[in-house]
Amino acid sequence: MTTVWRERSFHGWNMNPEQVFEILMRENADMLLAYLRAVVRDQHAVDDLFQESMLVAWRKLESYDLERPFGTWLRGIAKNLALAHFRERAGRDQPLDEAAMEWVESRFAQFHVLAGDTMREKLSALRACVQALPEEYRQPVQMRYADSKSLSEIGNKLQLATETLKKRLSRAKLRLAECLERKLAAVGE
Amino acid sequence: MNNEHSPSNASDASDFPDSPDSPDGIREAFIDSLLMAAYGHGQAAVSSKVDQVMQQIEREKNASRRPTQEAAPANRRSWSRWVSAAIAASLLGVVFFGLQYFGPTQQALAAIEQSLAAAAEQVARKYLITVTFKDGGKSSEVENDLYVQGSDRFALRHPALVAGADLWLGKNGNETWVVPAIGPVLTGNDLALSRWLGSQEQLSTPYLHVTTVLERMSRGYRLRNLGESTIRSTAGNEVVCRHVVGELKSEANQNLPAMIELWSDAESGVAQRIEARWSLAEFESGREKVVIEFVGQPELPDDWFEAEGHYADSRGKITFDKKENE
Repeated sequence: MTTVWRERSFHGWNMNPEQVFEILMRENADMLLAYLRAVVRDQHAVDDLFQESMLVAWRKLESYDLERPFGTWLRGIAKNLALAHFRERAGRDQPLDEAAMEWVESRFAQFHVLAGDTMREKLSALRACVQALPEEYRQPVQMRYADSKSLSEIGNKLQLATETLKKRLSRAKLRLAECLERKLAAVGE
Repeated sequence: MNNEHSPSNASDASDFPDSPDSPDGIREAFIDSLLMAAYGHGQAAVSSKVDQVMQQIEREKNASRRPTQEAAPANRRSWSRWVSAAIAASLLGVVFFGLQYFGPTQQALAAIEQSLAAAAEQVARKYLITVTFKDGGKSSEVENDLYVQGSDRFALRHPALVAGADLWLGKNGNETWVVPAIGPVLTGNDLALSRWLGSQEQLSTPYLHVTTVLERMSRGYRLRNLGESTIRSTAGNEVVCRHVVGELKSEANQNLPAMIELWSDAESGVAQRIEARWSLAEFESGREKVVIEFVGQPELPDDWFEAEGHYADSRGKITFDKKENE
């Protein structure tokens, strides 16, 4: 096998701007979806805003500041679209205020300190937190998120009323939030 | 992933907090979104949405080109050309610096993703898999033929222990199957096949599809982009390829290769050669190397990815589970 080395360059990749944009979008798509799910309650709106954010990003690509991470810029676009969505659907969707959205943004921005190249790899910290939960919390969380079971299926299996189950999931999530905060703080130190 | 029961599915009882704007409500929603990402909810849908956006971008590009080329007056055409050139230059700048910013890891990942996209094309391709085993100081090789079409159809020929009676295994898009040298044909799903394979010692290759090794490479490996290089294909032609090297991030899993290298066609993205190497101690025995080489795009019979395409005599069919319970 003969190997001829060539200087790496953009042109050597035979890619046009759309192809590179597509790569950036695929790398950031999981993060964008998670961000929108965190700030918008209506799943259909999340889907629409997800696609709209990507289209706006493409149309505004020339205004992207190269000194900033692409994910931060993309979330900025998504945040503005989410705020516009809340204004349009006043009273029909439960809006987050600006301060709450800033809090969510600050948490997503912290993620770059976690190990891993992709969002899923970075979230191994959260999966570790799930593993560390007491069984009464870990079991419903795993059934709900890892096994994609419905609340009624989990309730039947664990012999819990739906309201009790929702409270347990709620408490489990707050424990996970504390665990993740500790991990982020430890890595950031 | 079952989206029907996705935690945020509107048809299901919601477990979102009742007071979303309270500090606890915000934290809950934040963790809820991360849990869905952590366990891969809606991965296929995400990919499909990116596809749709890219199609929309293509449509917008075509729509903006038409008036400029066909109907615009000369002065406007010239102005449009100037603006287009400025935008193109700006985009190329973004792309160039973007690539620098996102670094060689993302470029390497891009090459793998392009190869995965090429592997998903509905084109029949043949690969030669050469597996090298080390036993003490000696090395031996086993060759397998792998045929793939898209990401969910494959047929693998494994040389049999008995001369003239090869083992075939594959998938027709829905069902996996094994045609052993003798005995009934086994059928089932992916899980059943993987469990069956786990109980077999005769199969030399751990990879039944090009996509398996590419997907593995994209996860858990420290990737380096080595630019372009020219390799000689099995047919003797020189092919300009992108060369990517992946080193296993954690050596905790000894079953995984310590290093995987990919040479993919620089134009089409088709994987031309993949080498996976395991790290064996000096006197350790086992699988040392797997080389997967692109052979060509053969014309195949219609039933090639069906079990029936690989045996002539009439045989019974049983499910893997039944075989397991015997």
